[in-house]
Order: sequence, then structure tokens, then C-alpha cells
Amino acid sequence: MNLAKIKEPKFTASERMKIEKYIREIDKNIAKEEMTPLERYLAVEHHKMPDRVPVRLSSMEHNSRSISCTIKEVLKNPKKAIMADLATVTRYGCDNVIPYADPHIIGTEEIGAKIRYPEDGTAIFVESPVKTIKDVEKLEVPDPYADGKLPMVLEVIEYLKTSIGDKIHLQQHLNGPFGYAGDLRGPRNLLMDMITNPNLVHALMEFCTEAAITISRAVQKAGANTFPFDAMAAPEYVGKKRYKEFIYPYQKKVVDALSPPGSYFCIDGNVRDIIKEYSSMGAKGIYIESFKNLDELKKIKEEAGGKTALIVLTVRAPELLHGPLNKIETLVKDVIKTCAPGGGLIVGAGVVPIEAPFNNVNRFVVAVKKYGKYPLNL
Amino acid sequence: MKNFEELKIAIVKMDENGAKDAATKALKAGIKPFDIINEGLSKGMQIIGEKWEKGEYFLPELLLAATAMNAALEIVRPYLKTGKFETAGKVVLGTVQGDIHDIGKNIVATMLTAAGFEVYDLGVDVPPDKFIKKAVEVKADVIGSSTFMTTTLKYQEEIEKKLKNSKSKKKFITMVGGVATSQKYSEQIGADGWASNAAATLEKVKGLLEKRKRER
Repeated sequence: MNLAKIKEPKFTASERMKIEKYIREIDKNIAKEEMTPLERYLAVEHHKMPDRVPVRLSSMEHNSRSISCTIKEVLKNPKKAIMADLATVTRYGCDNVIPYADPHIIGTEEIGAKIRYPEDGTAIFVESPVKTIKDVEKLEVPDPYADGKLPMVLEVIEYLKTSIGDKIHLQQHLNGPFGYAGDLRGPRNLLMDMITNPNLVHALMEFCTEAAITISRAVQKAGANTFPFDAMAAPEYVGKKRYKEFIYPYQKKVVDALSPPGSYFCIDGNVRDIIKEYSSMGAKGIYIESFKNLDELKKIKEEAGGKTALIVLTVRAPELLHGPLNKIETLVKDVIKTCAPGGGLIVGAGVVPIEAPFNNVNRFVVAVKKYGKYPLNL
Repeated sequence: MKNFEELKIAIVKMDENGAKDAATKALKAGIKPFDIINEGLSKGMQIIGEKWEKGEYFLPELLLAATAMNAALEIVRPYLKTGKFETAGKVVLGTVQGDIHDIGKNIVATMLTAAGFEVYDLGVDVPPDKFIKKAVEVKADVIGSSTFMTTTLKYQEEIEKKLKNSKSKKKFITMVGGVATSQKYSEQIGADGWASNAAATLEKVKGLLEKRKRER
């Protein structure tokens, strides 16, 4: 593995002035509260009480709108990625930042999937290379310091770590093993393989676990918290038995390999049936993307037993895009009322749509700050 | 009837080759293509749907059953054109431009076909104009668009706007679906319906068509 130092982007003098201005604004915002965002997140991770519930903004491609550039520019140009991230944190006063805008493609091209980059849209998978088990044998774990755009991703993370990482929680989404497997085989094929070709699934998951660990370790070393994400992994999609056979053991390997310092873990869908396993995985925090109602959410928190922080999704893309503002507030308030007593809660929102209006996104952040202050007064 | 039972069981067992064989056998036995679908294949998909609702079957089973269903339909379809029959309606379906997620959309396509609808599946990454052009071409009743990603929601809105601007909105019932959507969202963009899963989509489409028939 090439351990050459990650290069730093060369900013012009005027770009540096802009960056310094962003950082001053971020500092001004932070000074209004007792803890810095990083302190707040660390408190929750260490099972201590923060000054308020941390807010988690899943703003990725939307960051491009903070500096009026296209998504492709942000994905391909590290300077634009950094400026977009800093501008977004300044704009919304959020506690976190996601350095690289498209988590699903970090490492995937380098493993062998073909991707097309529209000028101003989400990257599109063109081809998944794995057709048979023999194709799995040909796959190679990428070198994060040399292959494809991985060095660029690490460059962005390192710069943000140096500039704001002492106060803002850096969070890099990337694929978990099932996520990588879906990209390499095609999600439809992978799901059917669970019945028709289980050996292929296991072989692919072994490889993808190694890939996820290698890339995640590099992301950690660069300075970001890792958020491996496995789409379609929840029991509501595959069944509890299949989750335990084909997915959980590999997710556990990833979390174990990334500790210390530890990793978050994200599964979309309803995880009620596997909350005992999910919360015992050893992750610093787990993602609760879906729940039937607040009663179920309460039960999820009880059964998680305080072993790990819960990132609970409150507001989704349609609300971020279309509002109404009072619904955004209500959704946030209800989750905080249900889950925030005793700590252990991070309030999240769905991925911010590229064209989400500032007011809607801002209302989400403001609502968490308003209702999430401890001691709670709801 | 034995043929219908064989067709049904092949779907329930998610047996692609079995479904193809059963369909070929049924055609050779002189059974009407429409009955092969309605009395055989669809009955199998209904059982699959029930098991999904009960939490016994999950996406892997649904996808395998849909694959078996589609394989049998490919055998039967050429014979459908030679007969006169009434379908439940015509539906143009697709995943919107910029999005390649299609699992949910494919299941919807299969369930609609199983329920007697004529489905024109445009695939993935479908521009708004293509939805409309196909709907006009085949005189569709319903345009159904799916998106998994928030970044491509705008294309569903664009379909509504284009229909409104060309004064074609009344010709077609529009349905939106996909993880990124919601009931409220569908109302906000002016779509006629939304559903959270394939079974609910089928019921919603039937309901909206019924409503339109009564109003005409």
C-alpha cells in the first residue's frame, strides 16, 4: 500500500480569505451554545449528556448549491468540494459535515463498477461487473492512497479535519459490505442470489467486507468518522433469517475492524426486528431510518438499552423539498420528546434534495436546536 | 383445471423454467392466453402477494416470482394479440431520468400484469417526455413513475408540468412511487395517486380507474 502523504489543495489568496471568513462565521455560531458540535457528539458517543441533542444534516449533493456550482464539479474538484462543505456548515449552523458528496461511489468504481457522472445529478451506475462467482475471484481491494478518486476523497477529509475538525463532527458516508455487494452484482440479482446462489453471496460479502474495512480505515486515518451504509439490508426487505446469515456477520466484522476508534453503522428500512443485534454490534451510533410510529420508536430505544447512540430520522426528502415548515417542526419535536430523555439521541433528516429551499432545511436545524436543549422543556 | 394449477404452482415455487413449461403446455392444450394469465399465473402471484403481506416472503421471493411470471408472459404474449379481449387498463411505467433503481417498479409491473393490466415498462433513467410520448402512443390510462432518490424527484414534477402545459393532464391518471416520495408530496406536485408498496399501488390504480369510469 502506498502511504505517500495526501496532497493538500492549492487555494488562491482570495479562496483562502473566503475559507477564513467561513471559519469565523462557524466560530461565531458555535460560541452561541455551551458545547462545540464536536463536544456534543462526543458526549453522546460516550454516553454522557450533551448541552442539547446533536443535529445531523445529511447534506451531500445539496452542498453544491451553497457555492452555486454543479454536482459534477463538487465530485471531481477537491477545492470546490471543500468550499461547498464549509459554505454549507456556515449557512446552516449544523453540527456535522459530510466531506464527500456521493457516498455510494466511494471505492465502487475502483472495485470495478462503471459509473456515469451527469453534469448536475446523482452519479448513475452503468454496469455491475459480477455475473458469476469466478468474477468475484478477479476483484481487487483498491488502494485508497493510489486508486481512482480515493486519494481526492481523503484529501478533502484531511483538509476539513485540519480547518474545522476540532469543532465540527466530520462524518463520511460510504458503502458497507452489503452496499458494495449490491453495486457489484446489481441489487436485484444479489437479492435473488440469496435463494438461488448463496455461495456467491457469501463470496461477494467476504470480498466487500475487506474492501469496506480498507477504505474505511483510510477515511478514519484522514480524520472523519465512518458511516458505512447498507441499503436494502433491513429484515423488512430480506427477512430476519437472511439478515443474520448473509449480512450481520460481515457488518460486525467491519465495525470490529474499525475499533478503535470506532465507527457508526447505517441500515435503511425498519430495524425493529433486529434491534438487539444492531445495537450490540459495537458501533458508536446506529441509524434508525424508519419506524411505524412513536410507540415503536420508544420500544426501539428501550431495547437498544443505551448501548449505542441512536440517529433517528425525523424529516424526509419530501418535507425538506416541499415543507410545510410547521410539519418539519412537529416531526422533530415529536422524536425529541420520545427519544431525547436520558440522552443517547442524534436527530437526523433524510438526504437533503439538491434543490431543497434554504428555509426548509434551516427550519429542520433550528427546530432541533430549539427543542433539543437540555434540560428538555417540551 | 390441471393446467391452471401447474401455472399457479410454478409461480408460487418461483420456478422460472417450470413457469415457461407450464405456459407452453397450456397454450398447446388450447387454453386461451388471457385465461392462462388470469386463472393460472395471476393466482400464483396473488399467493406470493399474500405471503409478502403476512411477512413470510420478502424481496428475494417477490423478485424470483416476478422473474418466473415474466418468463411465462413472454411465452404467452405473442398469442394475446391474436385474440379480442378487454384488459383492466393500460399502464406506462418507468423509473425516472437519472435513477436506475427498479426493484419496486418491476414488482409493480408484475403485479399489474398479473391483475390483467397491459403494462408498458420503459425501464430506468426515463426522461419525462418519453413517459408522455409512450402514453400518447398506446393510449394509456395511467402513467406511473418511480424514484428512489431525492435528487430525481424533480422529474416526477416535470411530468405533471408537461402534462398540464400540453393540456393532456385529463387524459392520463398519474401515479408516483418510490422511497423518496410520499402522499403529501404527490398532492403537492399534482399527481393523482401515490402508494407505498406494490400491493397498495395495484389497489390505488384500480380505484382511480373505477372513479374515472364513474365520472365519465
